[in-house]
Amino acid sequence: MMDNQNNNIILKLNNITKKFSGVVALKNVSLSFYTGAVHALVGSNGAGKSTLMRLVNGAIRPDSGQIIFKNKPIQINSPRLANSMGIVMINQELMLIPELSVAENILLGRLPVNKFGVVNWKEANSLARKLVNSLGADIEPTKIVKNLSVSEMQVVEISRALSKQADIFIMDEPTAALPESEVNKLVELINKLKERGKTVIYVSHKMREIFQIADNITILRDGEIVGNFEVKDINVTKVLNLMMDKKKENGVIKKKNYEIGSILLSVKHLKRRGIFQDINFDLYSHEIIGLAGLVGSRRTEILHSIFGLAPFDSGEIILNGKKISRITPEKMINYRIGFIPEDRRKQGLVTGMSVKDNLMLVSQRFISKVGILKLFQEIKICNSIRKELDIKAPSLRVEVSTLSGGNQQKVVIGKWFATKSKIFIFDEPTRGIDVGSKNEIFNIMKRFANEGAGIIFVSTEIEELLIVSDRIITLKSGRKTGEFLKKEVTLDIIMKFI
Amino acid sequence: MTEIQIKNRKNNNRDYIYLLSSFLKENIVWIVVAVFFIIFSIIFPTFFSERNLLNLARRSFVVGIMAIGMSFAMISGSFDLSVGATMGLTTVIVIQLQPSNLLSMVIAILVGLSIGLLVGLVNGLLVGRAGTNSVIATIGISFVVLGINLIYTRGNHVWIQDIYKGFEFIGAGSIGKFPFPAAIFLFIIIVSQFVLRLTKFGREIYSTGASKECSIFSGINVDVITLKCYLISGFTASLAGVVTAARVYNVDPTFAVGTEFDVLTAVLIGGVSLFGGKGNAINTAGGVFLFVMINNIMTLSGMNLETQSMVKGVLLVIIVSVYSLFREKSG
Repeated sequence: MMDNQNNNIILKLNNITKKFSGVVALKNVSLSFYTGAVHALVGSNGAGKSTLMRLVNGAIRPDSGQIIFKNKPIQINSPRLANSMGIVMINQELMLIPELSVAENILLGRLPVNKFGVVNWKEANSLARKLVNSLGADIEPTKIVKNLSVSEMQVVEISRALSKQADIFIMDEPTAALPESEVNKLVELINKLKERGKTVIYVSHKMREIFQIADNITILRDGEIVGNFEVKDINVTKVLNLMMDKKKENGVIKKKNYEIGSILLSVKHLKRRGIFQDINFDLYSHEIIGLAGLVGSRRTEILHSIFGLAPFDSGEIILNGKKISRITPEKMINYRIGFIPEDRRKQGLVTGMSVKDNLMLVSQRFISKVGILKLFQEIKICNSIRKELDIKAPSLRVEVSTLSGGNQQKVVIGKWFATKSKIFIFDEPTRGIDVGSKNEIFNIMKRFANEGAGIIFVSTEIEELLIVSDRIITLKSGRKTGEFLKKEVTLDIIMKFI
Repeated sequence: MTEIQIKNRKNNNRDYIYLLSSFLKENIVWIVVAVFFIIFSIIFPTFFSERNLLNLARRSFVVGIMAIGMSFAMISGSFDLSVGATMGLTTVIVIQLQPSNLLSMVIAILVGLSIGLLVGLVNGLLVGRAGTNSVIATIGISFVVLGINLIYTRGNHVWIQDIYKGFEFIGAGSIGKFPFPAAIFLFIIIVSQFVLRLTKFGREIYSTGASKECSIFSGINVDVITLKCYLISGFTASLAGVVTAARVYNVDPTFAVGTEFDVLTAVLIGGVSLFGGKGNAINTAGGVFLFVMINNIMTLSGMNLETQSMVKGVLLVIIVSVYSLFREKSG
């Protein structure tokens, strides 16, 4: 289908397979990328997109298969090597230095100097300006990066890659942090790269954009390629069908359907000036609500205000029928709310403390007597949590930072086990976790719900929300834009509301 | 043995080795104490005499009890460099209250101890509630406290004219052969170790020091923990002041200036981390013994005060560097 392209193949993957701890992330993936083309990579969460990208970027190595770059078989052993070969990844978290200027960032480490080592700013600024202009943008090279808009920062980052003679640009959800109005600028930028013969690998969920920009599209599902087309030969529906697999529900605990239970939590007209406003929703027992939104939708801020980590200006939070005032995390925990935070390492775990101490950090206040810890009981509880969650650790006494990401997250969740909490807030619980552990965490959430808890689940992966939640609430820029039952909504519909 | 059995056996052995080596690393101070004790006893026969050792026990009280108190603050992630000034002011006020009978002694002791609590309260509010940098805040407070001291005494030497026998006992008495101040020290070590390791409060202190953010997310009131630790640190400083008054009956108002650095040295030798979250009372006591032994040896060997000061400085730097290297490897 793609052999009639006039462009050359710049990168070819042959039968790539990659496993993580026995779980197959990529299976016999064979793919070609062309110069002067935009190649979209789509797939559900866990399909293998990020694994594939990390392979191309040199962050990980394939277990078997070949990578052929510019007609030569190579091994990409590190991101640095990938960069020097001309493969660059543009992350969601941009790698710019906010306090330095545009020119300094673009030419970082390679600023033009005279023979005394003094920087030639005139040359640096003019070089930077040329690069930026070649991308169809116009940014003062002396402007400080932290004052730029997100799309301007993207231009700077791509300019930097260009100045390093990059040929392949991997972009991972580049429009996730962009407001609508700026998306067109990115499209222009990508077109400019195409004109220069560069290759763009575009990983995204946004069908509309993909069909606007991409030349080729590859669909991944469960680590395998299920479709490889030129964009003009296919449509959105077919792509979505290939992406989703109805069979995925097997092997995953089914959410039992209960009659609507009691209201556990009511949030009414919650507002925090400049951050979010008029947030209303109810959480019932036995259900999981998914909060859908992009980066910048302020979901985390709303949850922090509900849990007492941040203030709010007006509105009410009602628990079991009672309005709560002067909210603190301590209070909310006593009311049996559990909070699994976004940043596992800094907010969810005390690095430096053992697995056991971390597991007991919250429940110790419920278990200890007169403030004295009941060590034997604690060990029993920890062992049972370890078994239930299948936490892989050599012993309860090792430092929690020695565990893998998925196991660390299980510890963060296990912290709340012995608290008999009825409400759980999961803020991006599957970020940076391998496929196997993600499923385990979804199962845990469903189990809690089946046992009567109410769960609020935040994730930027809409497919995850669709798998697990009963209801989905969409948020955009701090406002609630919609509320849907799972069965009445699809990925595409949700994308319109966030 | 099957392959799985061999693998399990290897894994178990590896875990035991890991646990054993962590245990040794955490408690290494006591090994050093033992080694030094043996070496010093061999080189300096006078070191090992009953008189010298009992004297050591009595003297280690001051640094010792303040070190235990400071450990609470440091494990929770805050420095307390006001302990010297607090001790100084307490001694001065206790002396000036002239404990010549039971009533005046009780009043003097109560007032003295409340000074430590008051300073601790102020520190706790400044650092905990207001979020001030602990080094700056406590150094600032130490100047204020010293200032109060100097204004109160007008810079003059103070002394107890007519000391009550009960008060004398606090400083000079013994329970059998064991000096009373050392008994207080021992008691405080035991209670502190218990609190730190076996109570919810203790675990919350470690958690606050190791990760303030996660502690907040876990519903721990980190400001209150910080405040309580400063109260403890201030209290032990004033307790040291009371006993000092009972021991020497007379002081120069500036006698305690600089003590906080000796205490800090002992605390760091004992393995308390500069960044919080690591350390315990028993190991701090080990640090105190090592510190006091080294001081003792320097005196017994006739080293002059200036050189002693330099040795202590070098010691502090070496200790901190060694522990940092250790920690970086394992963390």
